[in-house]
Formats: sequence, C-alpha cells, structure tokens
Amino acid sequence: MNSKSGLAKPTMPLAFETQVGEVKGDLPPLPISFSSYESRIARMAFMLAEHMRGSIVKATQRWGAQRVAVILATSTGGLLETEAVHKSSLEGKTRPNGYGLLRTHSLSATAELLSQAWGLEGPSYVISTACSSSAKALASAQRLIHTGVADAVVAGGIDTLCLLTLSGFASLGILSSSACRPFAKDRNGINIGEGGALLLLERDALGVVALLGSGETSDAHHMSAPDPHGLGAQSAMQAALLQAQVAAHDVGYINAHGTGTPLNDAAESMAIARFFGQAPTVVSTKGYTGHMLGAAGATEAAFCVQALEQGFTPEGLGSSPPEEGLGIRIGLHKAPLKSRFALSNSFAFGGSNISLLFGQGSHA
Amino acid sequence: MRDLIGEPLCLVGVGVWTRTAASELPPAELLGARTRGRASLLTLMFCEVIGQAIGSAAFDPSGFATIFGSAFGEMQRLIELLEGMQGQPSEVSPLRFQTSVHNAAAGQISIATKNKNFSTSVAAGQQTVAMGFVEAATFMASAKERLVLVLGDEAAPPRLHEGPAYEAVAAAFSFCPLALAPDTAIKLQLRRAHGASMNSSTPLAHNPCGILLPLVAWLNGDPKGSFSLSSPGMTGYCIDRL
Repeated sequence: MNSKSGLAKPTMPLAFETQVGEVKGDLPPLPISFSSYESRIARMAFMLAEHMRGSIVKATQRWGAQRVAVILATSTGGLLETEAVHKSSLEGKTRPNGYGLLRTHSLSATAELLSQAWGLEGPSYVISTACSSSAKALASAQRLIHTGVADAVVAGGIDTLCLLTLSGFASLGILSSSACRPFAKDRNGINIGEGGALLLLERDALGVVALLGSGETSDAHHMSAPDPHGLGAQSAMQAALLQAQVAAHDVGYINAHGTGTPLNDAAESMAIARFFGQAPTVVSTKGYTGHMLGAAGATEAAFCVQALEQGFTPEGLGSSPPEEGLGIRIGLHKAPLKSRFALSNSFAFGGSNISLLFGQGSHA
Repeated sequence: MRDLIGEPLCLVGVGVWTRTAASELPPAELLGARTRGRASLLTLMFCEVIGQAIGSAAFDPSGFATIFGSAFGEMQRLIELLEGMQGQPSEVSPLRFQTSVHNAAAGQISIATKNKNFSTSVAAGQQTVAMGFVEAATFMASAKERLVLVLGDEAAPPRLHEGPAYEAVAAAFSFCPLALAPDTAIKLQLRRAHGASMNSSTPLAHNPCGILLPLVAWLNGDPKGSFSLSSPGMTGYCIDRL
C-alpha cells in the first residue's frame, strides 16, 4: 500500500473551496444487455464486481446461485443523474434517454444489476444509513450466513460525487478547504470521496481473514452531530467484541471513523480511550480516500483485511501532529501489526453507529 | 428446509397508514411538536405506524430494534432540495439536507423516543417489502430482541416518475422473540417460494410497497395458507401462517 493521498481539487465546478477523492478517468460502459441501469454508480459497481469475477464464479459453483446473495450499500444511488434530469425537467427540456427512477436513481439498482449480471438468486438489497451504510451491509451479510439463509454474499458499498451532496456538507459547515487531517491538532473538517469496495463473505471461506463480530447502536442524540461523549460509539464497539468473544486488549488496530471534524474525532477518541486505553493503534484512512459516505465502511473494512493479511498498520495521513490529550495512540507511520484482530468504526447521520471486528488465524 | 428464512416471526402488533384525503397528514404523536412540524411525509408516516404497532404490542417506545424499508426513501425532501438548488446551486438548507438521507426517519424517531437500539434501513425496489422481511427474519434469528419492521413509500415523485401515479402507504409490524411471545401472537414463517407472484392488484399496486395493504388485511383477517410478497418474474418470497 502506498502512503499517497487521493485527495485533490474537484473537477466539478463548485462555489466553495474543498478537496475530494475523485475516481479519475472514464469508467467502462455497462454491457449492452444491462444498459437500462446506466449511471456512474452502476458502472463503478459493475467494474468492482468484474475485479472479483473469479471469486464470485467459484462461490456460485460451490454453493449454487440461490445461495449467493448481494447486499450492497449507498447513500446517493443515482443522484448524480437525477440532478441532471430534474434540472432538464424544470427548464422544459427533454428528459435524457434511458433515465428511469427504478433503474437509474433508486438506491437498490446496483444490487439488482449485480444479481442479474452474475445470475445470483439469493436475497438482493441495499442498506442505506448514510455514512454507516456499507459497514451495515457487511453485518447484514454476516447475519444471512449465520442464519443459514445464504452461504456466500457479495457485500460492500459504492457512492459517487454529486453537487447536492457536496453542497449539503458545505451547508453544514464541515467541509475542509484543504486535505482532511483526522485527529490532528488543527483539523478543520472533511473531504468527500467517491468509489467503493466489494468483499465476498463466504461460509467456511479459504481466506485468512474473517468478519467475527458486529455491533450496531443508535445515539438517539442529534441528526448530524455525534453524542459528544461517544456513548453510542462505545456500545457499538463493545457489542462487536462481545459477539466475537474477543477481549479489548487483543485488538491491535482500529480503523477509526475519523472524519477530521473537531466533534467527530473528539467523541470517537473519548469512546476508544474509555474502552481500549492506548493499546491499539488508531488510524483514520480518510486521508487517503476522503469520506466515501455510504462506501466508507466497506472500503475501511478492506483496509482492515489488508492490514491483517499483510501484518501492518497504515500511516495516518494528515494526522501529524495529533491533538494532545485525546487519550488514544494515533498511528502516524506505517508499522508492524502483531495482533490478529482489527476493528473498523463507522458512524452516520441519524446517530447510526456500527463497529466491525475482523480477525485472522485459527480464531477466524 | 433450506427455503426457510430465519426462525418463525411472532407478530404482536401492526400499524398502517395511507392517505385518504389530499391534505391529510399522519398524527405521528411519538414526535415532539417541533420535529413533527419540520418532518417529511415519509417520516410522519413511519412514526405514525410505529406508534400504532408498538401500542398494540405494548412495547416500551425506547426498547426495541427497528428495520426501515423504502424503495425511494425521502424522495419529496430530495425534490425540495433539488428545486432549491436551481437558483443558487450552492444554497442548500442544512436541515433539509440532513433529513434527506434514507435513514432520516430512523434518526428522528430514535431521538424522539430515546431509543438507542439496533436500527437499519433497506431498499430493494419492487422487492422492498420482501427484503425487509428477510432482514427482519435474519435479525430476529440472530439477536432475539423485540423488533419493529417499518415499510412504506411516499406518492410517486413528480417530474422524475413516468409511470402511473400512486399514493403513499406505510405499515409497521411488531415482533417479539419466540420465548417471550404471548398466546395471542401470530406466528409467521418467511420462505422462498419459486414462481411466487403478487397476491392481488390493489389501488396502490404501482407503489413499490403497495402490497402492504393486502398484507395487513390478510393478517387482520383469519389468515390461512400463505401470502406472496414478490412481484411476478422475481425470485419469490412468501409468508406462511403457522
């Protein structure tokens, strides 16, 4: 893994300064037989699934198509295209060809597309809980396998940049005009990113890393601000470890939600410090990707899987110098990971909290 | 047996709302007056049906998990935001923005009821009702906690929707763990049903959650046999009464 940030000035014209994590270059169009699903997010989902075609095909051959589910996540769906169609409509222009509410705009279009394109007949749906969405998709996938409803699940999340989302975060006053600096002394806000990650969860999998536990709670505090004491975050972390039957002192790496806003990072630090102390290395990888919203949880789960597979914790890009007195140990440099367990936190609008515990070795 | 989805669901309460007059808004009494005044129709609908469902189940308002399901979510709020951006693209109402997310109702209702339990929000197009039940059945089989499943969609969104118009509908279903189920609980089993098709045509048939009204009618009657949750041509799911 290179310690290189993907954050830069957006190509989209905006009335405010910020940086974004933008997917550069053209995305290949969908195969003609699925062209009714055309959208930027659908192209990203299809491309990600193509990257794991071999694994999906093997899982389908192993378990049968009815036993392979697709649980995806997004917060925007096809909003990028809907913005353009709505604008055309208000201006009295003709609606662009191919736009359809169910297949272009709707949140679930990507899951439907992948199920159809790969012939997967297990349950197929999308979780959309803003910035915790794709971590929750992984937890739903875990339940489907645990309860015997599916044997393998293609799970993850995808989101794309659009004007409404960027303007919405700007209206909340939490966008940083420069690259985000999670947990840093002078952090001043978030950057939005796009893209996604898909993972294949499978019963009796041959991989070295497993999803061992998930904890999901609600803050019941505020729509867009975290509980300042991090109580909901702490209870999510505790629930994930309890389900996995893993002790707090055994966790070596926490991929923090770490958005880079003063409020989020302070509340999350408080929750981690109370429950874990200074033992685990805490890193926010949003300095690489920006905040990928509905895709963040799955992307950060992939960082955890890679850390466990390769035995290192990533550099905390932008976190130096960290704020003093947070009570946690921020990973400023790439370092060896000696623990077999890694935790990933995701928090969201509406006070939605989730923690996922990943493990390697015989425990998994 | 591999067609069964989770364990039997013990239904202990139902709520339902659909608009009968153009100006009608759901009472949504779980929300405080200030939140209620600012809430979207979808949030009011969801709050209203949860209130009904937990009332008949005698659930503590802060003591249950929630699964929300909607094909399009906060569509009217989204359109308000898009219309507001036409003049000044960078001028977005922060209040409207934070309540435009798919889990906006979940957040506002959890805050109003101080409910800190599990909550999630699903979407599955025309399969939203079926997939909501799948998520509920797997949650109940894993967590064995009280749960309210809340499903619904607003009316067809103008400008973006090209098909037949439809009205809003929402319903909620309270489930309790098998070990805590009273004698009056209706025991339901979700299963895959190959070739299943939509039960009947209804006035809300074009609403992605339009099947909720016939489902509630089936549950409120003397349900026998099974009820199909899926659209024709899709992988089928149905509910059996045990």
